[in-house]
Amino acid sequence: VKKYIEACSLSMKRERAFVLAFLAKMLRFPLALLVIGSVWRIIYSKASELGLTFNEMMAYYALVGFLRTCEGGFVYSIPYRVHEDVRSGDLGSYLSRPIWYPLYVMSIENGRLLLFACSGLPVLIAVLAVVHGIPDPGRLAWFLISALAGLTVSALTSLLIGLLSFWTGKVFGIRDLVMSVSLLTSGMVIPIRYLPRQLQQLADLLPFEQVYSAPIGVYLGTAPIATIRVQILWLVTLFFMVALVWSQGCKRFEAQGG
Amino acid sequence: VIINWRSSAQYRADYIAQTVGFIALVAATVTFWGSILSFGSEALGEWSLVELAALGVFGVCGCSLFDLTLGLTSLSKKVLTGDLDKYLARPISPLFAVIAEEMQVDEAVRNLITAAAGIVFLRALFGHRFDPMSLFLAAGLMLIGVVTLSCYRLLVSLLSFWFGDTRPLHNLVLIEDFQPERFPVLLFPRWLLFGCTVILPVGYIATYPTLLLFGKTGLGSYVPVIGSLAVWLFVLRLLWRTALARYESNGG
Repeated sequence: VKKYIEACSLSMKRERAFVLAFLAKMLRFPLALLVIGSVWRIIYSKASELGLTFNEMMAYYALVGFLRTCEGGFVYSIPYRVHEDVRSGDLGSYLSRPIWYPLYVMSIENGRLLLFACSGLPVLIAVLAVVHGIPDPGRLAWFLISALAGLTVSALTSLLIGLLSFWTGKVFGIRDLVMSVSLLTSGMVIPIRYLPRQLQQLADLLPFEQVYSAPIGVYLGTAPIATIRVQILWLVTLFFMVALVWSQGCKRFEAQGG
Repeated sequence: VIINWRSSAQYRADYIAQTVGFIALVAATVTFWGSILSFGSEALGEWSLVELAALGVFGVCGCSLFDLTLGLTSLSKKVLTGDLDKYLARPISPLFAVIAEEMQVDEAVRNLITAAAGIVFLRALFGHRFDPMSLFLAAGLMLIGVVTLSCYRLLVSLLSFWFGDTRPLHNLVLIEDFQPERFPVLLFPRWLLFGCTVILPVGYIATYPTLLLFGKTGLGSYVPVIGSLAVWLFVLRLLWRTALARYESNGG
């Protein structure tokens, strides 16, 4: 475990070196919320019975912004990293070390995630206090637990896409396609309850709902805390899928060394 | 450019998956607005569903075209490491070479084809007939908007001749924060609308081309963005010359 914690810590240090880029990410968070807020204000003035109040909707998008910042683009970087390692043969150097590669990749991404979460949390609390009132510590704690589970689900899905590199020449098309589908079915763009019934049913079948909709629901009280059990179920399922794909993929891997 | 196209053409399945993903992105905007407008209003102010759907087509297409100049963001690194020599020593335009080296032409071609298909789809879905001339003018406006936005990208990169690594500044303002494929800039507060029209013309990626397509604005909408582009080009030309005069590299 120590070596994975070390990888996680190194990743945090590396990310911290780009302080300006990191600050830029934090600064953009309220601006993006302002843009969304100005449009939703007009929507609320026209539409009737949306289910959530305007302030709740703003809290919803503040939480989406926080989760997106924590995700830190790993939905793009994990498949890219795995694909490059498999394609270039660099994976060989990891196979010869006493580490389990999927867990190593997850540790690196978790370092970044933890850094973003710790530094984004004060910004989130400040934004929530303005748009929705001071957050209840209990709810916030459950939200963070649920968010961690959801983001791990997202990381495992990305890892699974990356591991397809053992069979396909490129994985970026699949990655982009999955990303596009997850936009709607995760609740990132709009709360799932506003989608047409067929899309809601599709969202229930896919893991992306666990990344945004579930943690936000836990915070806003629109989903029970027991939702976390479903997230853990997805987490375990995806973990076993990653382990299976990894073991099968490794059999296909060839590198000349040199 | 040709090499890039050939290398991409080798992975057809991946290309098809990306195309489907692109269509799904446009569909996300249509679904978003379809879901919102189902809550009691047929239009959002001056914007009907078909117009918001067209906004999605322009927005996704414009953002993808903007990605064509992504190579400009790596100019900063090339300046700092001295790799700019490679371009300056050859009888080519250094800036074009920097852009072309990382240009995803296959992506641009795919997105343009899909955008055209998107317009045909909108016509079939909403029964709206688009005037070819308006479509041409709207596409032209979007292209000028993309070029103007790329000027901002170049400006940030050029600053590296004076201030070192400026790559993080590219993340300070990202057009994705304004969600041009989903939100018309005309719905923004006045100060933000001004910023999205004059300073960082995000509005010209989707909002104004859509208005032009539906005849809600005339050729006059070309004037501000062309004016803005002219100013940008003048300033950048001046900066580029001054920057090159400062450039030093030991080679090796």
